[in-house]
Amino acid sequence: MEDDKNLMLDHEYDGIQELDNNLPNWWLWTFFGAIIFAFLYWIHYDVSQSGPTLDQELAQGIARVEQHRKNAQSSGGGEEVSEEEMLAAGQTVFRNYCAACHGQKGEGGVGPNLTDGYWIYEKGAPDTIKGLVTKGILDKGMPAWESMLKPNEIDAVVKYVSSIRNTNEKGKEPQGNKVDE
Amino acid sequence: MSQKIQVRYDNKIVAFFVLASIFWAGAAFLAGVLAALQLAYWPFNFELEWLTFSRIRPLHTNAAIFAFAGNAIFAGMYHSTQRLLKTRLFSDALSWIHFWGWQLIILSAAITLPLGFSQSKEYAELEWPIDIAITLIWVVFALNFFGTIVKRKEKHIYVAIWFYIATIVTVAVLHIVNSLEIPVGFLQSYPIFGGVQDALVQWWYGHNAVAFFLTTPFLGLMYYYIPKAVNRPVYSYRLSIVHFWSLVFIYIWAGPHHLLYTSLPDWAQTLGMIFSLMLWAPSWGGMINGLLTLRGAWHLLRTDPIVKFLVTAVTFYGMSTFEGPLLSIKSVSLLAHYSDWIIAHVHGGALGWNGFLSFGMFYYIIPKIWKTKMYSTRLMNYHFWIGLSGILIYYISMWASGITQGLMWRAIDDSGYLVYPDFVETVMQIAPLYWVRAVGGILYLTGYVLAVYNIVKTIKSANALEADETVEVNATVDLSVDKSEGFHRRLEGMVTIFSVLVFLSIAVGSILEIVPTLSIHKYVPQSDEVLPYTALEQAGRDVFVTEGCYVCHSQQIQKHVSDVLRYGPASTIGESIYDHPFQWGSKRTGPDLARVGRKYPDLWHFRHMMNPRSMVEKSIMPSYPWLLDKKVDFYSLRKKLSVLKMVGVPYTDEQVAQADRWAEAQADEVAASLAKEGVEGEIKGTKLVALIAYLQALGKKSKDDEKAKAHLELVPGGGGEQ
Ligand code: HEC
Ligand code: HEC
Repeated sequence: MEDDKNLMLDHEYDGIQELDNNLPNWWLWTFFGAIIFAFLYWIHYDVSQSGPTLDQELAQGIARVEQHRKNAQSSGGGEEVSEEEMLAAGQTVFRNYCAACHGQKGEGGVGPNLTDGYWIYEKGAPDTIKGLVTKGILDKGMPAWESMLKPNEIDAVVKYVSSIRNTNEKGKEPQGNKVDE
Repeated sequence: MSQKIQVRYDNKIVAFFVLASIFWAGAAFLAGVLAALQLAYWPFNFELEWLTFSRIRPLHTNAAIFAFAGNAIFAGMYHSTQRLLKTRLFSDALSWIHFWGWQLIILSAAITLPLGFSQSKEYAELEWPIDIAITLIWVVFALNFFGTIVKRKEKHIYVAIWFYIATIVTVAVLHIVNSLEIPVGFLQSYPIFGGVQDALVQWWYGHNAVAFFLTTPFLGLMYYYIPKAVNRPVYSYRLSIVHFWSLVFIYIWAGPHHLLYTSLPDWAQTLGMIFSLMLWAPSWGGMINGLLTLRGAWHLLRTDPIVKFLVTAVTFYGMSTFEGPLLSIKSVSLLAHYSDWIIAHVHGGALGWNGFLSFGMFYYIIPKIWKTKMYSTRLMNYHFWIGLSGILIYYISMWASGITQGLMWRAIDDSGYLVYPDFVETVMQIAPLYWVRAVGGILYLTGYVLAVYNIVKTIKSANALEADETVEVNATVDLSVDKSEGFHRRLEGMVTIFSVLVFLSIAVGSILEIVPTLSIHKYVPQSDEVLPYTALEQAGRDVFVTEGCYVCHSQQIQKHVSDVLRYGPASTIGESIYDHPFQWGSKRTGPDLARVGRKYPDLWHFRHMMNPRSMVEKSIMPSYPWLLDKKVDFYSLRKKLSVLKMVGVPYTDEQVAQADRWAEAQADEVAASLAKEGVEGEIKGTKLVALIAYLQALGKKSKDDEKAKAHLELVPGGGGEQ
């Protein structure tokens, strides 16, 4: 505090005085450090372009994900899942993701009734359903699920949908063709 | 000895600005608490269009920034400037035009925003007539301020005044450039910039509104009120100089840190990030000077509530300006952006730094100009502690919420799939924290109520406002340059040059970032060519803008795996090029919409907009049932398309001339598809139909898309009829 007298400037504004302390060293170093880092970062990414662009980073990320998916598929199928477990899992998926449009029991709503024995697409064969669920029917407003659901979840929900056919829940009026079994 | 004269400081104008700030603070805080409750519990939207979250949030932000903080700034600037320059304000007439003009602007904002007159550009929502009024009033303010400087009785300008100058100059530039828009009606306009250009200009503005409306003026106030309140000299004059100029020069570049991982060119993103990092030290320079001024007076922190408010404010400033650079680091931004972490960040600044500094300042000014003491010190202390706990609860809950949801959005498991593909699941996880946040807000509001009571009691018990405060000052001041002074000291006596240097400092970063972006065509690859919106889709876009859907929805899929897995291919720079205004958004309370087109059937959107819960059980999105009662003004589309054509959207003359019939034809199509699914009633001309057409077009405007192309040819008579 004694030093303050020496550091006091002769400025005075409405009673406010100013000292002239040195800039704190740690403060100066943070500032210089940030400037040096900024400069190097800029050189790395924008001038020499030795760092990846965002597009390159994204492409690498996607490649990694695809590799993970491949690995998971080839190593999958280890544990056997029982029929009931699969149906139960399928029902959960259906309630979470499909019910908004197809109704809690598949009776239809925004999307068609899946229980009425009428099918728009190729008699509602499991393979057809799997294709529809995976890729969606985009122009008709049925979303594609391949990015949301894993392969085993898609299998489970297809199994579930196949299991509720012809349960004839009252709901949306039939669409497509009657499929006799 | 030089001769003395008497001058009369104008306290009345200060009193009015103080009271106006306190009045509008109530509106801002109430709107904030309502918005908080609406996210916690959607029925608080009341299904009333003007009370819906997407209209309340802009009202809240505008009231907090321009009404509460704005009036506080003007109060403090007018109060301190007269004393620092030893003269009365330049012109009483200008002072009062400034005051009443600003209140009228706020009033018109408070009316137009809930009614849905909005440009949907954050903190620049107000429509063009109000933009013009803001410009005029700002000029009045500037004249009054610089006029006061000219007739000053103090040769050198103190550091507080430097910051005020930076504020006035820069806000003028920001406001004018970001408000370049062409009216299409009494309360509607389209910005001349579109897509990425609009995005860059908007965030150059948005970020620097924080810098030059919520930071530099408050630093100026800090430099006056802290030394006054603690009666100690400012810690370091040298530090003032270094941190002032570095702050002013660096801040202006940092805007693109709001756009990391977007389709903004990489170089601009890099600049945004590195300048934000370099900003850390200059910001802390201000904090150091504020806090170390207390050396030798720390005991006041225990005894004087004013000092408590001021010092806590500076501490929050330090926290926010550390957090800001941190959030600008690309990888941190990836986690935090679009999440509640950013909401936490701004409220640390707004409630802590701006709010507490303002209240500390009011508690200082009020007893001085009413010549009395505050009615109750204990109430001031209660205000402080209740307010502080409110801020902490707010801050911590939104940190937790932001980080939780951010991690969930980004999580990818070993098999290469999103761990939480269902967006609503991530919302459910943080919903309880929305209640906690509301509690924080209510506490802050409670503190405010105590303040109002205390202040009303104080003013009532005072004799009267000392409207004019007479002081003796030197009759003349020698403004000639003194060669023996140091360089900066001399500069402090040459206000014109000082102001020009400030302008140049902010011009460098602005020009170097904005000008190259305006020649953006070289970044848009030909293959990306997109089609413009059809007339009906544009009408739907206007609905999206009016309703303020951008407060919850982004339209920009980031260049990151997690975003691409969730929403589809990353957004390209070309896709939004015809968007006036851009709607990239800054917050994802709901999912990104850039590629929502044709993901769902029309009927899904119809039901979802009427009541989101009918499609997504746990949704917190408000219902928009009035869109079914409101009609599209088809005829106005001719004018709208012609303006859009003027700003660069490639419509043909015929599309413009037939815009209304074109839109009606497509509306017929949508209405028919809905009627087929059982929707009853005459819905063709409704805003809902237009909005659905717009939503179904999002991400589907490629020139290779058959359906999009077909819609472009719907102009009746567009074929061989002529
Ligand atoms: C956004 C609403 C929506 C959701 C969610 C949805 N669908 Fe669909 N779905 C539709 C629509 C609409 C159609 C009819 C498409 C058409 O008319 O061609 C459809 C058709 C189908 C069909 C073909 C029916 C037929 O008659 O051939 C199947 C099978 C199906 N969906 C299964 C599912 C499954 C399984 C899920 C959940 C994983 C699901 N959908 C989720 C809207 C939806
Ligand atoms: C309070 C924030 C909020 C506001 C305001 C809001 N939304 Fe939403 N929105 C959500 C949430 C949360 C979801 C996810 C749950 C759901 O689908 O309802 C959502 C979902 C959506 C979806 C479905 C997206 C998808 O991919 O599943 C669309 C479309 C949509 N909103 C459109 C709008 C439009 C148009 C507006 C303005 C009129 C709007 N929203 C306003 C929160 C909001």
